[in-house]
Amino acid sequence: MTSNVGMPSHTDSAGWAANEVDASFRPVALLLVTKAVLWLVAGSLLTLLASIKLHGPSMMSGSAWLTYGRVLPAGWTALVFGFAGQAGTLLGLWTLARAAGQRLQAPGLVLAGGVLWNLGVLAGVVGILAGFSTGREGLEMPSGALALLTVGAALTGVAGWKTYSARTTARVFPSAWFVLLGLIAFVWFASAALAMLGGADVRGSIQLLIQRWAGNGLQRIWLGGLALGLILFALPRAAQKPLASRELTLISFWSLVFFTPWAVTLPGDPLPRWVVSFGVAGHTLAAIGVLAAAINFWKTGEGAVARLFSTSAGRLVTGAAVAYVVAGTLQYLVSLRVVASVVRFTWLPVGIDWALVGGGAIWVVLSVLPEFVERATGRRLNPGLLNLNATLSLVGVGVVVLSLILAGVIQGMSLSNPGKAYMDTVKGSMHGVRLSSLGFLLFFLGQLPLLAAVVGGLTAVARDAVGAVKSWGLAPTGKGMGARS
Amino acid sequence: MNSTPLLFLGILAGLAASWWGMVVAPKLQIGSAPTVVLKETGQHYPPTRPGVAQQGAEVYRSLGCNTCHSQIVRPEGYGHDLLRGWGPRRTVAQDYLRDQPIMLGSVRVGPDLANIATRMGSGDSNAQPAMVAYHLKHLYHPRTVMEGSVMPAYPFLFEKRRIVEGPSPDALKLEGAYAPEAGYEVVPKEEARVLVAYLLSLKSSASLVEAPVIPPPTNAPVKAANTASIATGGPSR
Repeated sequence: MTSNVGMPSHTDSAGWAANEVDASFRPVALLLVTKAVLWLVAGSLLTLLASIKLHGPSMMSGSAWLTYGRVLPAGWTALVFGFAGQAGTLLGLWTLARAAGQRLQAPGLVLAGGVLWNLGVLAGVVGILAGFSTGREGLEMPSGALALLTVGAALTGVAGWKTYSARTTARVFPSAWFVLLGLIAFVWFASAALAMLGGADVRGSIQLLIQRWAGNGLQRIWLGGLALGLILFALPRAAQKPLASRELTLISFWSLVFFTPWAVTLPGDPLPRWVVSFGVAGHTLAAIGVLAAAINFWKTGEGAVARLFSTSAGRLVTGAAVAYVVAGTLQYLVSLRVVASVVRFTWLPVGIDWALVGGGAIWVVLSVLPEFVERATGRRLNPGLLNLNATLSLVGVGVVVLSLILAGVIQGMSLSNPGKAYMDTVKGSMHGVRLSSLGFLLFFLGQLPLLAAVVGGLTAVARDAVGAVKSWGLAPTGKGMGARS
Repeated sequence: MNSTPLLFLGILAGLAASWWGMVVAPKLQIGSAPTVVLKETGQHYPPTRPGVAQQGAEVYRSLGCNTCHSQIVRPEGYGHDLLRGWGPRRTVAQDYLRDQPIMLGSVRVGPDLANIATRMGSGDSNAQPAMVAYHLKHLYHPRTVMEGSVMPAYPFLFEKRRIVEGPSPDALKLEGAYAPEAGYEVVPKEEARVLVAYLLSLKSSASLVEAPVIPPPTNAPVKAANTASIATGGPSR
């Protein structure tokens, strides 16, 4: 089982050729992985810059392109859509194909979708920096850019569903469900936002509801669903144990489908009371899925802690599992009136976002990505660089999350004293913000070794391919590959 | 779970239910809510934002000001927005009827701006030029009016130019390290002017049936803290 990538033994014994499945992803890996990693480097640099500008507000203040209100959403867009979403979708398709025991179907659609996706992210990031943000949180990229992403996601989604439909196994490993959910969810939420927010008849607070509903759907169901699917895929493998419970996975899945999309409003929102109540109920019910996931993670990792921490991939996926549960728990707590009245509008919700995206999604993608590249291309990546990437990513995002949560609590407590001047409440939270900058710096520095490893590995693959063509040979190089150490 | 159509339809049903419940149904209820006529003035609320202020909203959106500033006053019991003096009442759906896009914000690195105009006394027409000057200086370099502010400066919204035939009437009155060298002055570009016009249009203070204006808080320390904040240069981020 350890020689394969986390799939339960019953799929391995079904007789399908895992190597053939891996090889079917070769063109996709060659075309899209480097782009995703470049977005990771760009996004981590932009978020680092934004963080530093919070305590050094005069830095680079002469350029409108680099003002805080543009740099932060541009960086977030690069990280969420450019890296985590793109790489998460690729890895999701790969796990789906392995679960289905089937080669990737319609790879041309994935390639075309990937090209459109990257063009959309580029238009989104540059558009935000140039001042064409929509002003809608979580959906800041210009609508044209989001449209490109949506078409790209639709093409990729067709390939994913075709692959699933062509499966040869009767019982599919449950991580596949989350991938399929993610493939539908992006198109659903993004196209609804595009169609409805562009209309002149959508006024006032209804815009707020649509953008929150779509933003929540993209973050928690599309990206969060992909992340959960990848964790369920990678955690058993790192623990060298089967997934603890298919039933608990089912609860997490249908909770994500039926409850989480409602978790869009918070106490005190300027909306009809029943809408706020439904939103809070959504937060509460969504916590059931998080609880089921937590128990599932715990049971899967139980007795295998040493194995989980013995490899950098294991440490990353363990961190991702913890971050996913922490984010989900805090999201529920913040929906409670007594908590929201203190910490809403503070740094704490930003810390939660980072726990879900930086921890839950990016960590698990970093855990699985190297092996995907190695198996798809047959080229081993530099393990030293990958270990450095894992360590700095874990420490960096960990510091970011903890410091922002701490800053949020301090800020919230301070704001709860209405006699305290506002400037004093801001100053009190800045220690945490400064500490988060250290985390952002480590996170950014950690992505440079990954870039070097991926570029180095894929360049070697390209060189081998050219050599093979020159000698009229088309066989893969077969050079050593292996799991991340 | 082995049936592809069942899985596909289940996912679609879940996502469609939330779309109906959280988007379509509220839209049917308040999506076509009309403006209301205020008893006191006989004017429609919310009023149409003047064109120059609407242009300013575009600058506000473009610069991502809502990344740091919210525009929402929560009800009593949901935080201390009212006690902090950020508005005379909670904000409700009616207040945002003309906002396109709505820029509520989710983090308060800086103070809430839902009533930034009224909080600084824009009801007094005599105070208007002083407030415009204050906001322009604040945008040019926030530390000129608020020591320790973490708000970024926006010098690109201004032009530093040589004084030719006497200083311009709209040149910023800057002192110390922030003043330009002798013979030069700093004047706002159009973007800065319209942005200030937008800020001075932000007021959600009309008394509404669903959100009547409550009497000012009598909590003396609170009032003192907020008054001090405005007197020393106004709210800053």
